[in-house]
Amino acid sequence: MRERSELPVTIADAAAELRAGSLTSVELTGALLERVEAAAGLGAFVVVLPDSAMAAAEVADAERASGIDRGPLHGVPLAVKDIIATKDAPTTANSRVLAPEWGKGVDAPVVARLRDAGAVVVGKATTSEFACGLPDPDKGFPIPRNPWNPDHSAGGSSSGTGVAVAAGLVLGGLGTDTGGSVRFPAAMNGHTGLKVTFGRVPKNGVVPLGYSLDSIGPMARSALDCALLLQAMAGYDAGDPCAAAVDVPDYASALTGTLDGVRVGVPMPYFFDADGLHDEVRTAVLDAVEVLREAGASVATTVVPHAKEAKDANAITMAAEAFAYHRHDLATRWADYGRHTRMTLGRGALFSAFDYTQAQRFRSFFCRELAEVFTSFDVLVTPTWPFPAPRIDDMASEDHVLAPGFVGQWNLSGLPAVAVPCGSSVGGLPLSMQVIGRPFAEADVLRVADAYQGLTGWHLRQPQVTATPAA
Amino acid sequence: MVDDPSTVKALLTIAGLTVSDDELARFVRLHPVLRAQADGLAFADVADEEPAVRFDPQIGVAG
Repeated sequence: MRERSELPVTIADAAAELRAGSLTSVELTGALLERVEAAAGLGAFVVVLPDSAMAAAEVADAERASGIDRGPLHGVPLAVKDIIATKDAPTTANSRVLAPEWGKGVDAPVVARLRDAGAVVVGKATTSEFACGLPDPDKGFPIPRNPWNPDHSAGGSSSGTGVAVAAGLVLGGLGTDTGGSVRFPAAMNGHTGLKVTFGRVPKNGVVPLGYSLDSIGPMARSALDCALLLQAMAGYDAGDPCAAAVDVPDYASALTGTLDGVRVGVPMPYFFDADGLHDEVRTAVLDAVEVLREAGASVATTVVPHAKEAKDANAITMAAEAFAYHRHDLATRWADYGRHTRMTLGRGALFSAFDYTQAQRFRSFFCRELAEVFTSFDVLVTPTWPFPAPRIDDMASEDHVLAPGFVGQWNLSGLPAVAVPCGSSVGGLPLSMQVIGRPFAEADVLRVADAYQGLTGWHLRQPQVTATPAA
Repeated sequence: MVDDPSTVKALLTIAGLTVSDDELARFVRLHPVLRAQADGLAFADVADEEPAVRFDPQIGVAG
């Protein structure tokens, strides 16, 4: 079996080796499964699927040997967040509440698309319960831990995919994002994570959180890898009433490495001066903006009006929609939910029909305001998260209600936004910037992220993961 | 009073939720924050906006 340092760290590199014949999917998958087992204490997976993964790897190798090339994901090991249905394992949503038969043993369309592209599903990755709340050690599911410091949070809710990508247990995977759940773990664990435009990727086969907010996004080390994943994931599906019938461009070809002609807006009020924004984050992101300028972008400060209200409107929308889904179970099985999850979901009972409707009126207003901002800019750049990963013990479910938030605005408005590693705190924890684009302009935000990553190496840093058996 | 414990308790009861005393206290502490967030969206510029909701009247119609 290959040593750690010899394995490719990106999907693009793995694809090149697999195509060249210098690496087989069986070798790659087997080596990563060994890592998964050794790093079980990081809590990245609810269930690992070694048999089906190795079988899929063997199929991929056999196909290649017979001249079939399914593209850059062919034979590449991935993780799937455990609120997304797969045929080879039950979906738990990390909860004692979800019915074991949920998902009906079939792949969600997005998983089927990845398998059609030849991807190898290594396992179901840990999520915050029902994609909200915080881990509850009393419920029997793994506690995801930050591979840079296991005493610190891995973010959420797509925690396990984030940990697995950062720790090199897989080369990429799926997360979902309703209020930052792809970008939060990407920021905490130090890799790239793309929240796609609402409707870009079909979300049927996913346990809902916020019906009008949910999206499935790629999580991987680099922007290029996210582009390769999105290429297979994106596109209309009639089974999702929110799926958009919008053409899917060639994402990788948009990554030119330069930003000539790209107009970058930096919204200073709120996003760079909010109470609670950590100085290290502010400095790292502003330094990253200078790198974008070096890459050819024109940069100017701007204002995103009502940013704080947009964060609140997203939270209200999510609370109301999630409560509609969970109310019966909350009323009958309150104690079966994790202690943080039920407090988060229970907030939905405190909002009125007026509150929800008003949030949707504000949503129209905010989208209009953003459209005006984007007449002057191609992308906006903000911090992803206001501070480095907190200690797990210090987190409380009410904290994020009061903290500044830079991610929910783009769920409310449906815009694409990518989290990009851009530094390290004095404590050795990753820092992250966020690049936001127009509707369905994933290619734009990935282009900016890729150009940045061509000039920096933050996305390629890997934590030293020592053997951590399951607790 | 929006932060009156009886208001929060009533809302939770109407929703069918049975919570512990500690959880009730946490909801009561949080309620004014949530109310301020919701009330902060009701300003004049939004008055003429349609809510961002749509539906397909042909849901479930064969063909």
